[in-house]
Amino acid sequence: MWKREGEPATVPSAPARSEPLVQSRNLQESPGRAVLGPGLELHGDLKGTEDTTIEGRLEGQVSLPENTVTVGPKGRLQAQVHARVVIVEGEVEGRIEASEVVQLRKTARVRGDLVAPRVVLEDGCRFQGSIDMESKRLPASPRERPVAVPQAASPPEGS
Amino acid sequence: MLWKRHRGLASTPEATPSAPDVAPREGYPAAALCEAWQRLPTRHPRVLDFGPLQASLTAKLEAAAGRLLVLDLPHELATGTPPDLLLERSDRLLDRYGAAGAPFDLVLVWHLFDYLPREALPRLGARLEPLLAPGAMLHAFLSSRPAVPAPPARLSVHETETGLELEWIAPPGQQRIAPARLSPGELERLLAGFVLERSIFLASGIHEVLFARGTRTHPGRRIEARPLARPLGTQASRLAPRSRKPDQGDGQPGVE
Repeated sequence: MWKREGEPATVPSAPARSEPLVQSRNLQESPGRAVLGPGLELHGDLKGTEDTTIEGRLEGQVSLPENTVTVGPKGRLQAQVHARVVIVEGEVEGRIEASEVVQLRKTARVRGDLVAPRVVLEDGCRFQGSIDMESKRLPASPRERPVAVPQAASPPEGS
Repeated sequence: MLWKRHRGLASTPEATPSAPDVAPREGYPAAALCEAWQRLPTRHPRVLDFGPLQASLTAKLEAAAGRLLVLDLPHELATGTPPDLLLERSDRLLDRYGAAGAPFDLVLVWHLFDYLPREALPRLGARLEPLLAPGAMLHAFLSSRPAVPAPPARLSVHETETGLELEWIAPPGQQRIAPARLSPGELERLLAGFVLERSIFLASGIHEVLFARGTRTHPGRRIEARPLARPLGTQASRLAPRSRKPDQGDGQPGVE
């Protein structure tokens, strides 16, 4: 159903379901990237911990709060997207919430609400809706969360 | 009176009938826009833009953690919405994107007034009034040319060392329509509740105007006529790579 980059899509369509469709595979060489191919259509929720590229159609919710979601040039979303980074090259109608940045490439067509501390645009992108950059940048992934660093032991007074 | 005199100073097509069909592409320091930005709250400014999304303005808002509502009405015009239905469309968009919950500090209306029916403007003013924060501003461009591109040209804003500069990008096609041809004073009369603060006449027959929410006794009204046009070739190098063929360089609204 989901293919890795470089692999041909083998399933023509995906049934509607509410459970997460993507489970991370343990690739030894590097963290994986899931792809919803251009021939696929998904109605439901997409959750996981893997960077994901959407080239097909999706209606529902995308929740990958620690990862990057890329809506490819052929991707069509009617969805609420929550991710660390969201890159849009296709069409999105709905709400995009990114804890780090939203990038609208020149082919992007977006209607809805963007909530992110940073929004990067390319000339030519189309957008209608609201952009809220008021929210504070929230740590999204463990590597971004502040780590308590033990302070160096100070020399005793009077030494 | 002053407005008429300023019009006479500029080389509009009316003043110089032999003006070339295709004007050189020009950039303009956006003095009134710069002033508007400087007057915005330094934290969490809220901007309502009737035009398309602008990367440089978004970057400025990002720095101040602001909020932006983009209606992109020129795109609505380009996709077939008749001008007389444009305000209804904008009403729906304002409701849809929750404009009522966000009092705006600045409203950007670039070239839209050239396309709206004159009788729609009081309604627009009344629609905007409850959406504005105290001291809110309205920044607009008006064309005094006899014809403007249909759909509207797109403005691109560039940040330079000296401030903001504007560049017009022509829409595809050569279709032209007659604009409303409003003077800043007429616009002030039609938009009840706004006071004209600055009016800068750009050399291509375009006014850059800045209104403030308030009464007509508001002090500080300034009207200027400064031909600020400079050929793009002499501008900052940031604009240079955007050059196009001369026969396509009619990006400015109003070029006949």
